[in-house]
Amino acid sequence: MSTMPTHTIARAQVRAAQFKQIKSFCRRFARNPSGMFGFFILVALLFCAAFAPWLATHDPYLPNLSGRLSAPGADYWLGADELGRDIYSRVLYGSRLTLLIVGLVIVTSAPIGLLVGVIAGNFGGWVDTIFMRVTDVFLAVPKLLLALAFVAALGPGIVNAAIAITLTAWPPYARMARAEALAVRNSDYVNAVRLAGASEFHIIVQHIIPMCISSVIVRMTLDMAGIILTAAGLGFIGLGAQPPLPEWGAMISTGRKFIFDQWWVATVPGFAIFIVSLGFNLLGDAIRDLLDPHLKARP
Amino acid sequence: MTDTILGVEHLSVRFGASTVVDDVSFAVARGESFGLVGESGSGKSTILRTIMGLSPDWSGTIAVNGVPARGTPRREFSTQVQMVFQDPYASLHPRHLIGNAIAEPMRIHRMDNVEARTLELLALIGLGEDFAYRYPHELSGGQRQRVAIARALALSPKLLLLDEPTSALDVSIQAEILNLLNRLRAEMGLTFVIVSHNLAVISYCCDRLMLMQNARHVETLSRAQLRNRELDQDYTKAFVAASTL
Repeated sequence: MSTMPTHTIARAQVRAAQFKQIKSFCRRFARNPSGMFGFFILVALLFCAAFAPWLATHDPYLPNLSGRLSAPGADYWLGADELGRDIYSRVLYGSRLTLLIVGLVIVTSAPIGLLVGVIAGNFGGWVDTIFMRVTDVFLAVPKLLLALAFVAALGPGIVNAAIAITLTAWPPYARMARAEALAVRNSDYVNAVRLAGASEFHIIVQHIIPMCISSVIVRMTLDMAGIILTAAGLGFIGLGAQPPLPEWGAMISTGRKFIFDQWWVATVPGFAIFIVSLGFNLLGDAIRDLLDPHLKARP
Repeated sequence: MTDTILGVEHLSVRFGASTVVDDVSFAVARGESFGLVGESGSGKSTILRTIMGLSPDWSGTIAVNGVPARGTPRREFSTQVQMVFQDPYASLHPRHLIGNAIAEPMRIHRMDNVEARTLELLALIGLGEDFAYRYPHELSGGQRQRVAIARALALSPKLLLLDEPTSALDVSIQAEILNLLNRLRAEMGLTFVIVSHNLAVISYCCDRLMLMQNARHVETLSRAQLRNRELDQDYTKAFVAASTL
């Protein structure tokens, strides 16, 4: 009973120490202007996705044939598409689909790659050989081609597109995590807990994965731009989101027919993809500057 | 020998084709401090790592407190003997708080009162309670080495293996760590095996020492023999002369 108070005090102090780490990270991040710019783009994207119904001026699905292909103006801020739907509202709603795909892919591919790589790197031997040869097979096939093949097999749709992109996105994580695990598994601090009788599972979860996390986060943010482009590419060739969903790639695809006369139909969603990819890249670069263990070694 | 805590007989260790330790035997008595001395690459650190089970390919017998090193689960063996590594900058996990690093062996063994014991251990090595909530990068080399010693003592082993415990530290800190080690040995009735290439460290800390060269045992001396230069082998004489003790 008497140990209870010290126990809770200890927890609070541990949290304070961890909070201090996070605060110092945020302070260093705030000093990087392009990183902050990328961060604001991401925040704006999240804001648009969350408040799309309030920010939109029209129903994104409601056709208005009298307003077909209207130029940008007071009524349609960014113009209207071939069915007279407001492009501004559709781009806003499209941010939800983009975030959904990016989120699904990241949430599945990074943990899969991390686990495969860490297990392969930590155990070595035949486990390593099998896991890494499977990884090599996935890496050997061109990304978009593999995604195409999977979507063709699974059928078009947003979730299927996300699954297909995941299947092509995890191998680089596995490679990276394996390299980190190889470097860490025989370090003194891992050996010290091994000597204390820790199980390999405990070592992987408590000691090796925390050392891989920063590289994985860096890779994740830099990957997001690529995932958006791949998702838009799948939408463009009609294998991603299906009409009438306002997916940016699919919107560019329909605007292609009018690109010379009504440029805004394809340009606006294209510009949205460009801005969001740029934001993720800037954010990823800034996070890499702060987290990459290989850059940290330099003064 | 009376009451042997560590017995090593005919130990040979190979790394691939090369033999790193060749037919070495020695015994350490309970409560003693035993030094392993030799040039770089003479196999002294490898002996420690082999005792701890970190070398895959070895032959001979090793027993700690009567428990054989081969075939005993590491979890059980870990309460008999622990090791302190050479480089204090590499032996603490950079993302774990000091308190967690010290508490972890006790958590693995599901001991009671882990928090209280952690604070006791911190006090034992002469660091305040607030050190429990710091990260390794906030500590100096000497402080880190103290933490590594506390972590090794967390499971209350009777035998402590020290692999060049002071070679990465500067001279004034070296003395601090050596005094701490001597004090802990006296207070807790520990047995030490210290690896070093520094004869001054060995003669300060160790009752007996074994000199090694090229993976082989050369000579075993007591501290008195070393100080009075009662040396049998030519290599020992050359080594001691080169150290300008």
